[in-house]
Amino acid sequence: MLVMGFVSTIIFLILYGILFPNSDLPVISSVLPVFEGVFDSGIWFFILGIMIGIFGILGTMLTEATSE
Amino acid sequence: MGLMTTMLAFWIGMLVVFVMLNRGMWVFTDVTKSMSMFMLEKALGPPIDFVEGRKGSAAATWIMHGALWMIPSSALTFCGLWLSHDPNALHSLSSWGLNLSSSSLILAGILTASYGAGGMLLNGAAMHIVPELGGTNLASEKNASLMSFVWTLGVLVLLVGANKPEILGIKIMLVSTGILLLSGIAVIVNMLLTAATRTRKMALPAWMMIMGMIAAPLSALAVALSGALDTGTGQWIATRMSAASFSLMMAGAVLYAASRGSGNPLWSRSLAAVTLVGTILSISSSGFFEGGIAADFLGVDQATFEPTRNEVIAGSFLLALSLIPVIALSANVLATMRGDDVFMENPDSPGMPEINLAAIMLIPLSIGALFVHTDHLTGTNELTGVQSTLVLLGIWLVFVPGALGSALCIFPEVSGRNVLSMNRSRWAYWLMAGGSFGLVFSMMSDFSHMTLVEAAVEEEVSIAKRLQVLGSVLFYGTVIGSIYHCLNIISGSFRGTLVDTESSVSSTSIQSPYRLTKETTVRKILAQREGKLDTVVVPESSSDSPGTPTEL
Repeated sequence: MLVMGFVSTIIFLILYGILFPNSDLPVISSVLPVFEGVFDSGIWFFILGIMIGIFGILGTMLTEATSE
Repeated sequence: MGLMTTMLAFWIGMLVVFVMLNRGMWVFTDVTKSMSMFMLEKALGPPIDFVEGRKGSAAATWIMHGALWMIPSSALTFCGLWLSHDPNALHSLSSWGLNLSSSSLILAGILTASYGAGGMLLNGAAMHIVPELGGTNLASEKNASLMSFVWTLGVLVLLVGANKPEILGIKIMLVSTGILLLSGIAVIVNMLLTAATRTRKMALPAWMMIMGMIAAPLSALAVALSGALDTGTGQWIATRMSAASFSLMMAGAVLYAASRGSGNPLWSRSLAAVTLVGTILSISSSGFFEGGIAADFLGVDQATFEPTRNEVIAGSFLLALSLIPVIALSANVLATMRGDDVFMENPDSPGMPEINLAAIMLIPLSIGALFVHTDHLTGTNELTGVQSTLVLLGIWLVFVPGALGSALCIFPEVSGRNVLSMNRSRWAYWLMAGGSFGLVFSMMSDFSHMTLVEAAVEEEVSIAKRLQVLGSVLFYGTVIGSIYHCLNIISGSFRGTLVDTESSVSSTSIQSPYRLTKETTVRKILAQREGKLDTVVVPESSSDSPGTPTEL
């Protein structure tokens, strides 16, 4: 499912680029400038990884506790 | 002579505690026991009913908390290392009032790793080791479980205090000391009550853990009694004795786990005794180098470190003496794990690689710390630049692996289930160990920086910065390894294979029946703690299929 989602996203972005050349993506293009100057260091990629790990642990705890 | 007076007060205090532990408190023994038990459970009222009192639940709770604390402690250290070469990387957080610096993040990382991760893992291990070796049950599982949450609260406050030492005029670190002391005293009382109900002679690792726990508050008391609390030397010695407390606890845990996990009896009880006595009598070289942190913990003003000539001589001698218990511990653990040959026995047993790493790295790092301490004590201060990285190396290559390895070895017994995946556990070990070795690059950068400062070079040289980048990026492996370990423990406690259904060498080799994993001798079986003439020898695997002639 993850791979399918990733492939679909890429296909959508390529199609959008062909159909509407030189135009910004709706919504995303207006949201991204808000974060300009905020995540401007490589450390944020690493912090993102840590956050995914922490949410992974939280998710594991929730699913394990409620699975039975 | 403040240093020797403080040490003398500490030694007398430890001796008195040891005698009282064995002799009791004269006619007050029974009254004290029943009063303490009341204070641990009924006096707490309804909150005590929030936690379960099942056997092993306290140890499992503390170990789980400790494993969870490994993630923030490694993440904070990683961010601190990153900020040392990119100071503005997290400047956007200043809009939330967080003005983070490399030093404050590294301090927070060290404190959470010591008190949160390592401290909680060791306390959890003690809650299994002391009753197990004493042939009894933990006095109050409920209180011990409840206190893990109080301790976690204390570490959270400590985390805030490391970044903001004073809020609204309140010294945050002092508040944290109060919370940790409250929880710590409850755990100590619990341990003492457990030791009081022992049914057999308790082995040395259990004594190490109890004495280690008591050493922490006793050291602060000794410094206060000797009147050295507001002097630089007193604060320095308080930091050293606090490190000795952690060292003793770790020594007890790794000695127990090395024997339990490998299936071999403890290689030398004499060396274990040398470790116990030597750690108390000498000045530990592990932990922080400066005494300022003790002043913060105790809520007094930091004083300048100006030892007298006699204090320098006595301090240097006692520091050098600390290598004896360190070598004794390392040799004992490694020899116990290897048994008769050079290879580690049961390398797949949980926690064994971590303990092996801690035992191997203990001696070189202690020698390094001894040099830097002597440099600091004599006022030379040529090696000040590597202090921080050396503390980090000690924590992530000795203290945390030792504590984690012991906890991983004990976890199946206290939770009733094994960790979810051995493969993930192995990956986590390599990631953590590899990441921690990345700190070597940070140390190379420190040395490069020190050399440039000494040579008064004004231009920025890129090599030191590149090494810092490399060190911090490699340390990310430790963060990922911590997450892996944590996931493995949590999932294992729900879905791990039941300990009873799978024959585990680590959990049965010390006690009867003796599981035969390879050829052995009767003397070796008898050398086991539970080894008796009627010990049952059980083959590790057996089948009903008919045998075939042996091909020659």
